Amino acid sequence: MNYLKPILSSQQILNLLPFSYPFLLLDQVVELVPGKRAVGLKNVTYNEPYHQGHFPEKPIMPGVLIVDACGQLTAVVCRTAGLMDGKGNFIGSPNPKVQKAPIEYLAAINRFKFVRTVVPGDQLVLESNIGKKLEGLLNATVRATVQGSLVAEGSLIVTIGTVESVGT
Amino acid sequence: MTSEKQAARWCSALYDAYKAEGAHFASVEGYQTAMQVSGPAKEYNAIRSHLGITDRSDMGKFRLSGNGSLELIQELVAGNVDSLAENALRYTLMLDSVGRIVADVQVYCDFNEYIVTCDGTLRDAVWERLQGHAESNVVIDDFSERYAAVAVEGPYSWRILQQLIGTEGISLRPANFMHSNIGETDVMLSRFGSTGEYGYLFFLPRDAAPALLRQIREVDSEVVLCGRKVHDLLRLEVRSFNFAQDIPRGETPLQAGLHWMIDFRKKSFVGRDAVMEDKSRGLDKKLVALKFFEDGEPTPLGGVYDGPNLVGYVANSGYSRRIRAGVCLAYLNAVYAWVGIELKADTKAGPRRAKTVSSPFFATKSTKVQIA
Amino acid sequence: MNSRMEAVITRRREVIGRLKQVLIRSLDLELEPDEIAEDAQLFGLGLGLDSVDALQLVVGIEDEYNCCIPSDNISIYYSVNTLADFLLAQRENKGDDV
Repeated sequence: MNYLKPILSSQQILNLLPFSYPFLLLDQVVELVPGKRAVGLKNVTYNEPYHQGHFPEKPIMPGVLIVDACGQLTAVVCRTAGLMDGKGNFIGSPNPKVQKAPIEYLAAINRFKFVRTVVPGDQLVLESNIGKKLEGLLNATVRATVQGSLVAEGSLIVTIGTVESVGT
Repeated sequence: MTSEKQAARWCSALYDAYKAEGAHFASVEGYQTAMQVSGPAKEYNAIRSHLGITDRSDMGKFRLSGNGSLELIQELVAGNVDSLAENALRYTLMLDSVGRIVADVQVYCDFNEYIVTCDGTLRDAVWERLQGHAESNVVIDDFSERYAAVAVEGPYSWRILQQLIGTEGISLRPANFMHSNIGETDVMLSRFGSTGEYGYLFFLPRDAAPALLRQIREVDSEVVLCGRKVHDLLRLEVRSFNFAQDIPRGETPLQAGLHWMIDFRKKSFVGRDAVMEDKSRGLDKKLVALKFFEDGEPTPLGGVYDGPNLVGYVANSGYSRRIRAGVCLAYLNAVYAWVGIELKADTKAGPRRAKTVSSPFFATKSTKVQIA
Repeated sequence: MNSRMEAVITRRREVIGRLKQVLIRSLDLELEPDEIAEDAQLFGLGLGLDSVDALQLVVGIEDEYNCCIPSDNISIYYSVNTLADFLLAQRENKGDDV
């Protein structure tokens, strides 16, 4: 699918998320239902520093970074809930405080499969669908494709806000 | 027990403070134990709505050090303490060779050493087992007499920690402990309780206990001193294991629903064979909670009936103040041991209708109160 | 035992059995169903699950029963028995097969 105009550019993503160089793994958001789902893009280029070591003879994007990219897209979905419409416009006045919202930490990575390797030149199309929320945690099903072919999928549990222990 | 021992463990360092409040004492295993201090209703309401202090200084407290301590404990308890994180504690059982419960114990992993604690009534039994199985390199220090133990329990008990220990006190997670100090006194603080409310145990040198009590009262002048008696009801209401009440006839841990205290994957511990056999045979009776429809407190060891047929017997029973109903835990024949059926159980006024229910019998106030 | 009581027990036994399977599967527990007591606390002192496990369990149950468990009433998740109480009450309200 060709995405002609992004909903969120990399600059807007920078303003929204707590990440920045060298760990912003999301270039554009091309579909957005705030609080529910999103589709984003990440271009994979040889120029990224980890390719020199992973692996010297054969550059492959590390699986854990694919997971984190999915996590970052999930953070976009969480943070835009109630703040943005589906076109990337802030509802009401622009809210500069959103970057100071509690950081979403990865709490669990579940049943992740890496189906194909991802190499420089690929454009990762990431998808995140928010599922169940409970006690400051949120479950999201995520997948990554390249040119329509599945490269990875699984689900993540992410913290949102404070987490209180359940046991007494 | 020798008379020297009796004299030695005569009473807690808080005896005078409790006596001054009008506490009634009873001799329990030679230890002067405060059974009731401020009155049953006041003590109950304090622990269920606010905060109450209970003196647990009679607890058995043992420190194990030296090569082989871990192996010793692993062999003696049914739960797994090998994978215990530092600053975590495990609540588990000591069984005998035929799988009967000897004691319920808490095991703490404290750097290279282990601390084992238990109820005061079980102190001798636990000591004998530790001594009896220990290899020569293991040093067992019985510090039960030298250290007091003060329980602070209730939905707002964490406020005491906030004031006396600070933020790291209130970030203590359940079944965890920490070393800290109050002024110049070293304390070991453990988040462990059996009332279903937030609960903390302060372990500190015996002589420092009266000062601690004073400091707690300075933080909150409304804290209520509680005796031991109220805890039977508090524990029953939340189905907290109570060895004396829940095991009237040598019932097995699985019959009592204590599976979670046992590591079934652990290759060896005293009583393992009996436990595995109990499990594979299938349980003939199980401990189930019953709540009464009509008035009446169930009779301990009274019968439970389906029509004219006797299908079980009452073990632990009482009248719950909170839900205003008679409640009990009863051993029922396995075919009846399911939640959701109506039976009858003996009370002083004859058999009364009761329903099998999930336990705890209600959600305590602490489940709705956020710490800090 | 009359047939009504037998029916209640049979239904309960089935729900409990299925719930334990979901619990073991969703959380990859190294436990067999007869090693889980119905009233054991799932979190904290009992089975020692944490909030991440709670969410995974809820997702597992919702997938298994195709239902929705409310997030605001955590007492539902106290034990296998309380979860069964909730599912059976739902079933009665909806007339579905649990």
